[in-house]
Amino acid sequence: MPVTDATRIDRVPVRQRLAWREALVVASVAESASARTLVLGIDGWDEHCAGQHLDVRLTAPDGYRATRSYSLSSGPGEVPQITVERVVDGEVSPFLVDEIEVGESFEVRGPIGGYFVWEPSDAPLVLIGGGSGLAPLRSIWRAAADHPPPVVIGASARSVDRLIYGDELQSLGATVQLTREAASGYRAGRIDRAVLDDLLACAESEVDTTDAVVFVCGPTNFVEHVATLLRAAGVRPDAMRLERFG
Amino acid sequence: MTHVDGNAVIGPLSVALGADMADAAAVCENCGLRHAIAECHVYLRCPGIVMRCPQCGSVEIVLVEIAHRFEITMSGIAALSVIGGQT
Repeated sequence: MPVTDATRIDRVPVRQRLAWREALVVASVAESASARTLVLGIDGWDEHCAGQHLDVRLTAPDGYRATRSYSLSSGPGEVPQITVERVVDGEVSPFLVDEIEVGESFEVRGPIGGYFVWEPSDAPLVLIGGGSGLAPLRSIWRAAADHPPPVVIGASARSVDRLIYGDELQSLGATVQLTREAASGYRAGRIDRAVLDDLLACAESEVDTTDAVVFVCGPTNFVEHVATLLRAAGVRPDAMRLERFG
Repeated sequence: MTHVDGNAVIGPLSVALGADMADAAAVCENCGLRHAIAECHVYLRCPGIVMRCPQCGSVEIVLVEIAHRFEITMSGIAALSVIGGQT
């Protein structure tokens, strides 16, 4: 039985569990022209649940601090990893994507979150991500690799050079939409009702799927767009998990 | 200005209140909707963090961290439900 947040609460006070601690960058992987995965060494790291995030805090030499939340993109049993997309004029992401080097460290707290989290079950899974919204979904599809439910993935990126996890998505048979570029092997345009119907049909062909669970993560506009389509397609609100990151 | 989901505020709110907010729920004082804290619409680039009801948009909680203190205004919620009781 998986350890639930509730049992962790009984064991460790929340202030202690969410204390800031050092995360050492042990490896760094360029995922696209604008995103990078940082593999982290964190003393006393406990396994996380797929879909949870870390709060990251940077402190400037003058004491100024900035805090942001980043989804864990690693599977629950793996070394913790976050995938960061560079935000133009951002305070934190350009440093994490372009400047920090292996051997350097920053502060983190977590894992955090119990809402955008996949609870292992036999229900089919539909995962739909836009841009770096694929990060928590990678954690979920890796966690679900050993479970029976079919996992159907829809991804959206502006262009090939902005797509993260391209090879992994291809090996998983994901549907990948490019919104600003035409390229062979990819579908062009936004995720629309037809694309969504295909994804839902793939999930439903395997089992009776009145209980399919749909995770959607991406920029706020993307998530609103997909959620509207899902509601129109008859997906129940309580079967959707939405994560907008701005 | 665009909002993010309540997940972004689970960390600071949990530390401020000393209870895990990951599965917490709130009842909006204005419209009565009961919803997960993670479903709040959160505005991060304010002086402090502003959390709004996902249904009616009214301000529920404002969290400000300043000089090693948390200042929390909760006048927009009628109830808060938190996991962690001993029974």
